[in-house]
Amino acid sequence: MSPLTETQRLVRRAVVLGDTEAARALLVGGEDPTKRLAIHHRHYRASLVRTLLDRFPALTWLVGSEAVTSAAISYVTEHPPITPSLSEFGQSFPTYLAERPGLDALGYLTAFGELEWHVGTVSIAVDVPGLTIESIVAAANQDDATLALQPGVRYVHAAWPVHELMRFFLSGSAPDRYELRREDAWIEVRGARGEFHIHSLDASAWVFRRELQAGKSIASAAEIAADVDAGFDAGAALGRIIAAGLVAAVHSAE
Amino acid sequence: MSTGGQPTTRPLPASAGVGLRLPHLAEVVATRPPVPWFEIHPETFLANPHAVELLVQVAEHYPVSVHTVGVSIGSAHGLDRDHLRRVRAIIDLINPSAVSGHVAWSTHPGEYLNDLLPLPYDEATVALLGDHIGQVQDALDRPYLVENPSSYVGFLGSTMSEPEFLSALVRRSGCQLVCDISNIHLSSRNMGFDARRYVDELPGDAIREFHLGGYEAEDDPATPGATLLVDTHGTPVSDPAWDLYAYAIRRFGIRPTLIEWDNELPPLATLIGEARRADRVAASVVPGNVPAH
Repeated sequence: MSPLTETQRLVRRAVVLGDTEAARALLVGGEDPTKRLAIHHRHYRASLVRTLLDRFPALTWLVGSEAVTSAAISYVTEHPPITPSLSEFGQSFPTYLAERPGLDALGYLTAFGELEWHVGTVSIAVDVPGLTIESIVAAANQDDATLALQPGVRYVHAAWPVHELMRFFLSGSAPDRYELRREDAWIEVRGARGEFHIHSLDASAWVFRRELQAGKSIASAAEIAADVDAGFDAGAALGRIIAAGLVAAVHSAE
Repeated sequence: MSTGGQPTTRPLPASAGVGLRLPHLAEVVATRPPVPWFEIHPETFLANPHAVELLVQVAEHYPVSVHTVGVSIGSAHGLDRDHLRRVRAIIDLINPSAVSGHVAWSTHPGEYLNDLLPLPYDEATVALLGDHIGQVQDALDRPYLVENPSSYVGFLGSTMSEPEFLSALVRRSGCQLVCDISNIHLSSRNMGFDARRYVDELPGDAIREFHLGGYEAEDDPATPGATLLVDTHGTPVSDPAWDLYAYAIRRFGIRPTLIEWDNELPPLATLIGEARRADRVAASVVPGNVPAH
């Protein structure tokens, strides 16, 4: 191990964990330079906790700033960012938060946080003009043609109707008391250029759209959706997708 | 030795530009304020397609300087090639007038530490950074300028001063410099050296940009009764930094100058006001040179 490698190992320990003592023998700066090194730890922690609080305002609304901040402080210590792009930091935070003592009874917390993550992601997407039925028919004349949906679309399946909770947060009109009943929610989150919408779909329509997004052909996606609901009408479902401007491109098999 | 390849199309004007942060992006696109150039941190755009879309519009009307904060040329574990590829994609979209980063490190294997961390100044570090600057220039296909850091601590093992280190780096790599005036003032106070002497010892021909940013004073946790300056980029430029800026212009001449403000972001007009002040300081030092807006 080179001297610089060892120096950076010790400084990393100070920055992430707050353990500045091991670097004492390396440093100069004031009477006790380890206390100045702690400024980097303070910045690391404060900036990343702020990043998480900014990314998850709805989670904070739901369980309180104190609980989220406390979890965030632990999270940034245990899960440093893996890239310099901080808008990609924190995707696993909802799961981490939901496992904290006292919050682990809230079975919907992870799904709610994941929904919020997707809302944040689609809001900064860029969409393109949706294809018309004519252009799709012209291009998709093979059974294994696939559709590319708009970039700002995500499909979320939750065991709780977390989109209803999100609506309360977004509208600022939560009732004093609300009983969240466990029931499957098939949610489509769509957004672009600072805006977003959250839709609830029926299970077969959700499966059809998700399979299309995953790259399945129209025929294959329709088959899978029909497994969920034998009465699934692929033509009508496809028509609704096109009318909503969801189809960004068609890829015909070579 | 790589010095970077592709020449840039629009040089930065020798006047004061403004750091463009995401909250001001749409306003700049909509109003096209009279600012000679903008600086951006590419890392804030990497996963934000909408911001990139707006940035492309900004670059159609303004020279842009790309100032990386996550390239980490001082990392003992090597460069993050994937990150460089992503930065290159932004650069290819907007063809910036300059690309720069920091004499610092911020990555550890598999981790990004979200700070600009200090390095020991010795021959081994010069060699490492020189090698990494060459690799960055090859990856980005253009020159990569490096900036002097702000410091709270140094290393007992350092064998050269910061200006000596920067000079050695310029000789070894052929790189050019961003001279952060506020960092020099801040570090001189924190580390106990003479700021003007530091400026005197810089390789002036290599300086391509000046930077000015705010800091905050707090009790020095290391020394009871002393004050420490902390590089927050969240306040106006201080009077001592303005004085040092004038001194540097007297010594090296006018360079493109950046007003950096990253935290507690004020209205865009405040940043433009700081940029105008930088131009007035420059004009007062070099009479007859009044940058146009």
